[in-house]
Amino acid sequence: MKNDVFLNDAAFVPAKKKRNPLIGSHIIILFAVLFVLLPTYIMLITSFTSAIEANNAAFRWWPESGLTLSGYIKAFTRKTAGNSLLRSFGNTMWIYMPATIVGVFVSSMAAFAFAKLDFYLKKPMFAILLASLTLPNCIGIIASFLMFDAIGWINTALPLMIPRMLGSVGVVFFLRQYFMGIPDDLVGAASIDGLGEIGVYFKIMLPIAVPALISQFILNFIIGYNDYLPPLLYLQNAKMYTLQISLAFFAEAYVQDWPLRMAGCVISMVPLIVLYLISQKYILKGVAISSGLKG
Amino acid sequence: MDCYGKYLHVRSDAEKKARRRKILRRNFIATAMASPPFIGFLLFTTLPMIISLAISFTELHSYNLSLAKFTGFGNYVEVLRSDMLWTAVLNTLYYCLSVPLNLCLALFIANVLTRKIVCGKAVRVILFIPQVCSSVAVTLMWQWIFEDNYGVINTVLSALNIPKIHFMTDKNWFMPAVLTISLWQNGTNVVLLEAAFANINKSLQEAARIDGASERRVFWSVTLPGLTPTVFYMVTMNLITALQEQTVMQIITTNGVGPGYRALTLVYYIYRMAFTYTSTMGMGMACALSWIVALIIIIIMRINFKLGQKWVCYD
Repeated sequence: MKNDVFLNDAAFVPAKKKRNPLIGSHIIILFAVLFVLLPTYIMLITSFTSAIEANNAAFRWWPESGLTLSGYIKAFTRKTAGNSLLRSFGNTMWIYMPATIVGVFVSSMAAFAFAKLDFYLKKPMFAILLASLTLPNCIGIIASFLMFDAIGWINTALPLMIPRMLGSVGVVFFLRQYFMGIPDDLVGAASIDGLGEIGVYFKIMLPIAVPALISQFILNFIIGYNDYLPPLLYLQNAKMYTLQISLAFFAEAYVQDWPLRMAGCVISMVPLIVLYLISQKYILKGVAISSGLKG
Repeated sequence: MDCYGKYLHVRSDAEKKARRRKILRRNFIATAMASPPFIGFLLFTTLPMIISLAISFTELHSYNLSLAKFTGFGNYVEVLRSDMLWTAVLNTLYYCLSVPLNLCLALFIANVLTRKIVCGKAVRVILFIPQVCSSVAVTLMWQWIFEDNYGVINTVLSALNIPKIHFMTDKNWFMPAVLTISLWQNGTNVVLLEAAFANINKSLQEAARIDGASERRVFWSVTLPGLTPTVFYMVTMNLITALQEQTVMQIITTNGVGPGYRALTLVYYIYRMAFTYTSTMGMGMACALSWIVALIIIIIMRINFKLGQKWVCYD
């Protein structure tokens, strides 16, 4: 760094030519990557260690007794309160997959209306939605539980699915921004050709927006898959538990069996990590663009 | 979109009526398309808020709303009087230290990532991985790393002849451990900041360099001010999340409240009031507390926005 300053001040060397090999930067990045990967490695290696070794001896970077699958076998076969991890994985899928698909689709329709159509209530509705983003949602936790209990929705998937299916404000904002980038002329031309609002949406907007919809779907599915407090409150029947709830109860039931617990963690993380690695382009772009919204 | 406007004056009454009907129809369709998220907001955010406000003035120790007994401001007084409230407030504020910590580190990493790094893309992908993992699994993973006897950190410490640290039972070490967990899930911040770095006006930086500014000077005087809108957005979002942290605390504690009640954050306290201390505190107090917490959050947000006007530069 000192060298940089010296060259720049004294000799007016153009900035681009004075790049040193960036050793320092690489070391920093190496630390950051290790900080992420080491805990992951520790979790992985523990999940393959035998229970006797992990629970009775100091941690080893490579298990002395060799690798074993017993943690995974236990994780897949054992049941807590009549529920297995596999079953709860199925629950997570059928609760959140359809709800997220419908939710993103419905949000995109609303986003289209806010971006391209005129209607009397447009401004007040949009302002209220915007304001809702800053409301702390802790206010409603207890009350929504009591509300769902009063209408008999507890122990069903409805309180997790219905609010999602009505769309999310975040997705509406993201997609609205996206639709505003599509030129108005396209919409105008189509409506002169006799296409109504709904036709314009389905035949022109939706096909253009498919990549954005996919990225929003994945991001929201990840959020749903990792959801903890709502399913914990609304699903009290063990048969209904989603994966995260099941994992938490599993960990509580086997406090001292670390390989089993770590195997449970790996099982719950792997589907999403695979999904993420396949679609990381969509995801990282989706995340990066959302910063342009500025609240 | 309206190509008839010019000819309005030559229209007959019937035509005008038809046109008005068309406009109404359009309005109806557009409103219908836009309304689901709005209805969702009314039903699942506004309605619970109203119910919560109503319950906060009553005493209720079961899920049955008809058993609620009106007590006026009794719940609020009782909540404000409890010692545990201040513990929870302090714990929450302590946890909010994660916001500046995470952001500074993310800023640092994102800045380094803008340089030519070997496998830069792969690094980005790796740094984001923790973000797709659930809080439950991540917390369990770190619980193992912080474990008293055989956890990695204590194994390394005892190999170096340093006394073991009881992260999960020592009340001074509990929060630093939790902050580490939150630091691990920092990928979104890095990605957002990196995008912000890429969006900065390059010609301004070049101009500063040509004028003889050092690299450090360019960073502090040109690059950083350009980042402030994004940083402000991130401070706001991270702060809202941190102020309502609950999952990590609930998973990481084995006794429910952590050493010396250190795990009791505000939102977790709401949860425990309603579902653990149902008979002694109950739903009414939980709802009263949730309004108090909301008020605290709103005040902090106001301060945040007021301060933001001082340091954020929109140009």
